[in-house]
Amino acid sequence: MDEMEHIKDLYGRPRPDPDAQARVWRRVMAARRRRRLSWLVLPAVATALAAAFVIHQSAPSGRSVLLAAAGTAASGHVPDGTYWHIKKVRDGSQVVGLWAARDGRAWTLEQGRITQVKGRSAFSMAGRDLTFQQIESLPTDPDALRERVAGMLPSKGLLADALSGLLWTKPSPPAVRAAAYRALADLPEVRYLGERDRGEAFSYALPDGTQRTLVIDPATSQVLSRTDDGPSPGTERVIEAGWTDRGPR
Amino acid sequence: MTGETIATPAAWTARAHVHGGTRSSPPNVLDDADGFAAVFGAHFGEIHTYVAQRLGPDHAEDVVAETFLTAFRKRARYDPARANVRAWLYGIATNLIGKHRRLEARTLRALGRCAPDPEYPGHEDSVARRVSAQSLRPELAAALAELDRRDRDVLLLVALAGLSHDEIATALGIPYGTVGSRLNRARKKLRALLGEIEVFVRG
Repeated sequence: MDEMEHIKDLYGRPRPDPDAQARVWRRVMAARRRRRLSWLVLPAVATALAAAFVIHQSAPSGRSVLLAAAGTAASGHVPDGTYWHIKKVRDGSQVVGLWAARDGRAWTLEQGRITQVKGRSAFSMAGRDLTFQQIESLPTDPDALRERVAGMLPSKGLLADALSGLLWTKPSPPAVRAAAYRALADLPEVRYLGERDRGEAFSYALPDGTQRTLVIDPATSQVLSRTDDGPSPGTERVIEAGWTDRGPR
Repeated sequence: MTGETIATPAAWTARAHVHGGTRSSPPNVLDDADGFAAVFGAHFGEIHTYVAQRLGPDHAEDVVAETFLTAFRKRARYDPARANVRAWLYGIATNLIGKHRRLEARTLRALGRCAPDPEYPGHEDSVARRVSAQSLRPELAAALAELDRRDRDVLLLVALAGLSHDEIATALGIPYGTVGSRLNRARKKLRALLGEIEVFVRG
């Protein structure tokens, strides 16, 4: 054991707590915004120039928010439970949930009742069933992922929705979620709406004219909520998502 | 709200680099806000660990936030041809840690007192080693605290961050040869101390 090993032993490897990355990112962002504001006290003409310059230089863009989320997603948890699980509050009142085991068994929670899913997969993309294995073998390169997903869709207008579905309605591995975030960052139809509900809001249109808004937390890469405006308005707020050993209950 | 279209061709370069894409002259990944976000996501964890090791977990977040903010503000000075982002961030963090000498000394005293982190893997091979490593903690911590700060920086960038001499030279802005001489000086002092005590423990 040489002195380098002794040193490593002495220091150990303290790990940041799970929220540390989010806190620090917000602080860095806030400090950058403060810096931008400080420019605005300059005289009028200079202010206009400076504001244009600084906003171009350092305002967090939608792309940077999505890429930050991709960075977090990439280092996310690998599957470490029996069930992939999501629980949401629909339209502010109704709790809906899903538990899916890797062997294909799945249960839904609706109106307080747990029902085993029969005769179909628990996951689908544009109406097509997807198995666990198909989801896990999706490409981890953003371009390849976009191509693969586009090839599975009946209409190009569903691409943004299909890619974002990989972020939250399916047990996508960390590298696939990261690729989905990066692919979304390149879609011209995805728009950044800024901060909203303690997250960052993005929206895109569905073929039927629905405007779908997702609020994400770049620091955890989780999707926090979905809001639809248009022909069939509705909201879903995520309250639990991820892997667990606790089965349907 | 109409919102901003987020797809811009500029960020392709940043992305290609973060993903390890090969190109003859690497683009500056910090040129745009997007590249910066990706850099933050990729390196937050290890920079936090490094700062928490040297200054303790309670104060790590302040210094880590300052590290990334400094990186962003000084991004024009970052030269991708000379250093990778990771080494550059370690350099910034190391310089900021240097402003907290009393805190670092206090952290070292605390490390000397407490038991090793059970989460740290490895070195279970020999009970004797374990015993000697345990018994050495206070002396090792004291010896590290007594090193010249610049020698300690180089030593810890090797031991904790695993940086190469080349990376340390660019990260700290010192000549390559200086990295070697500082490292040698630090190792010699520690080795003298540890050698003495290990003989005693095994004796």
